[in-house]
Amino acid sequence: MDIFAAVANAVIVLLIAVVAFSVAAVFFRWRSDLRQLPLRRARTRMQEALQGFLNGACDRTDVVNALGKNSEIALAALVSCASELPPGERPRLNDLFLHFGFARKEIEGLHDRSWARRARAANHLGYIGDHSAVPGLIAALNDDMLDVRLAAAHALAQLGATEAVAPILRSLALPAEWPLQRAVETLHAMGDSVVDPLLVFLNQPAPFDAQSAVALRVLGMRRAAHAAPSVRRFLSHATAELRVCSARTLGQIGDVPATAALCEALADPVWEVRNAAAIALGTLRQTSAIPALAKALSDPAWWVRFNAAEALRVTDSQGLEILKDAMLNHTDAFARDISRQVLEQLRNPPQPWSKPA
Amino acid sequence: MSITMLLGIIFAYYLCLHGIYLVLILIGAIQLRSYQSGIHFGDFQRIADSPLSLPFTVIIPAYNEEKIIINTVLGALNLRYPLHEVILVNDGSSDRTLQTLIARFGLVRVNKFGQKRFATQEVRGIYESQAFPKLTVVDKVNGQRGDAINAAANLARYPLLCIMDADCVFEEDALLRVVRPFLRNSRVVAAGGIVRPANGLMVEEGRITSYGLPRGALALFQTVEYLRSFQWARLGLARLKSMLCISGAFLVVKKDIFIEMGGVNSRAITDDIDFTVRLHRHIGERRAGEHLEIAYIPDPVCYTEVPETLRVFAAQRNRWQRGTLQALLGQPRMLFNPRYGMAGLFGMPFFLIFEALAALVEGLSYLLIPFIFILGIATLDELILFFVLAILLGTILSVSAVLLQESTRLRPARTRDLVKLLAAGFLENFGYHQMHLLWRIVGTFDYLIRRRTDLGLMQRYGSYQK
Repeated sequence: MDIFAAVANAVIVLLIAVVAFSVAAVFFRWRSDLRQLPLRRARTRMQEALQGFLNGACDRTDVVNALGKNSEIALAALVSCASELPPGERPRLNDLFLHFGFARKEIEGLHDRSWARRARAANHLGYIGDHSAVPGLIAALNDDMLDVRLAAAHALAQLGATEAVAPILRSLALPAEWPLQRAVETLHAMGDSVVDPLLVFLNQPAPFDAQSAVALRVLGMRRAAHAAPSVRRFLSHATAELRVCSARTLGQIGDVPATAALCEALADPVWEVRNAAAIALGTLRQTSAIPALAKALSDPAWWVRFNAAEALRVTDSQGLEILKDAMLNHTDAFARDISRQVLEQLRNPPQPWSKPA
Repeated sequence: MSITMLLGIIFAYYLCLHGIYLVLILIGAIQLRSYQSGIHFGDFQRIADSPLSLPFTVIIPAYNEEKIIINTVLGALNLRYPLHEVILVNDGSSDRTLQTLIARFGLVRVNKFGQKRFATQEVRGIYESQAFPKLTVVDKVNGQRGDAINAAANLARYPLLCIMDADCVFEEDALLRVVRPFLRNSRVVAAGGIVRPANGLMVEEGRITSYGLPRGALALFQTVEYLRSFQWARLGLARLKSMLCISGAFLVVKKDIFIEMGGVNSRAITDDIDFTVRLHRHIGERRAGEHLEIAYIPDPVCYTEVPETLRVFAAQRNRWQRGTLQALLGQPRMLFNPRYGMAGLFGMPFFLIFEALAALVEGLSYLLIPFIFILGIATLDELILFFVLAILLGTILSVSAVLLQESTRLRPARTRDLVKLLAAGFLENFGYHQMHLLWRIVGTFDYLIRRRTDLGLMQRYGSYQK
């Protein structure tokens, strides 16, 4: 075929496609507006009814009538409302969730073929607040999809299911920041009841490093003082990540007996461990740590020098004197610089701010 | 080679170019659907509530930005995130950028040394504010944009660096969205996101208060271009691990990788494409075997001011063309090299053949028109037919991009805006496209022949600010 004939045919096809696509764009807009409008209105009415119910402005029958018009939107509205309430207030909605049988439907949803549906079901069960969902959610911690496991762990935390601590650690302590962070958040959200199961877990023979790291981080966030002896053990662990977690946790707990061990950690070969130890010593503010901190002013890592100087500044007037002396007389230029910076910030804090006219 | 054969090659080139773009747009659309189905209720709220979310250092290099700098800084400070700091670098501005900042934020000069990992032009002073403790302002002697970024990186405290332009406005949840791939996948070392023109927005105290399309035709045409390029094609390229240009308007990178790479190349004409290409090379060489990845966030979280006058637009496109050539020609060993994975086998050849050299090929086709006519290879009617084909090929890409956008939450709010975008997708082929082509050819000439490496004219309007 002649090239120009081919071009002419292509022009006709493209012209039809351009017109068809343009009309389709406008048509889709019109159709989606038409479909979404009643859904949006229904959801707004349900949310208003729920708000009225929570404020005592309307009774249960009114809300049930409003929610009964579309169960899918009703579930979304209830979950959204529950998510905005403080955890202690959520049981007020339990009766409504129960009335529509949402717990049963969502427990069934945990076995759906679609992973997105399973994740959504797990997510919803946390807000529904029905403890009969706990075994199903613990089973969902073994799901192939990480998203489902994360949603199940979060739901278990919302339900306060401490029996799920070890399964959560096993299913989420993976070599990636997201599941680790979510595991820590989830366990922290369970409150102080999580501390004892975590200590039992840590005292098991050789749990995986990532799991121990999660457990240590949670203990630090919970400020679990009675966990200190178990945590101190990890300051000499072979894995640097666990030494960092241990030092950080001891600082968060405020474990004064760990001061000597933390001073030793200032000589660790890994700079992140030395840094965590310097920060922790700054929190403990023990004069016995001053010589080790003064030595750390010459550390090759900038952050260790900075945090050691900060720790000296907050520890005691003796620490301040050491900083002043280091600024003027230290043989190491790094130590002079860092001492000067920390002291300058102390001596010359930013002035109070007033809005310009 | 006969003119007919040359004509055939150009025709095949066009078909390949538009065909690849159409495929990229479709891959981008599939990728967006998969991304959105992976987001669950409360995901971003959890990141926002968590004290464990990786903290950010937001870096803003600024040069003569007095008209817009306050809103930019307020926007960066107001970002919803558990922990972030903002480091603005006044890169030797000759206007009142620094004085404006001092007056608005009550800055006072402090002594701060930082780690000095990167050599930069002399830092004249560092300023902080008691009222805005997250903010640090660095005043330094003028260098290129990359020099300013390196100066800020010297003071950065946090493990993720978010580099933005001084004329950018972020959605409040930008950091929550962009951190997600880093949290989900520890192999992700950098991320970029969709950038849209800010010209139709209204921004008040750093917060976006209303959305809309730009009023001027030039900015409107650029809106369609951004939609085609940033929203879909780059998403498709990212899926193919061939995204060689994360926009400097919104670039997030892990600090350890940034340090390993020696920071941003302060001599690059456009440091963003230079940095992205070098990052691919770094991943393929020093971090080979670790399967590190670059993510692309298909959420509209960043808006940047686009030129509203032809003079500034010409200078910008000239600069981009020179920068693209500099970045691609600077790494010739990556071309068709399987060591760099898809970036070497597809990304580099695609960017070089279909991005950097596209203007030359198209310019050549315009030059051939008189010869084709004089030599009687084609009649006037047939030439017009070719021209119509070129217009329709361009239009189908733009209309597809707008149509796909309709099926997402990224669509414009008003039907009138949708019709405007469709019309702009067609009308841009009459004048705008040809002007753009001309400036890219000039840019190619400037770089390859004149060896020009300056930044050229840049101007801010601040028309979106209240």
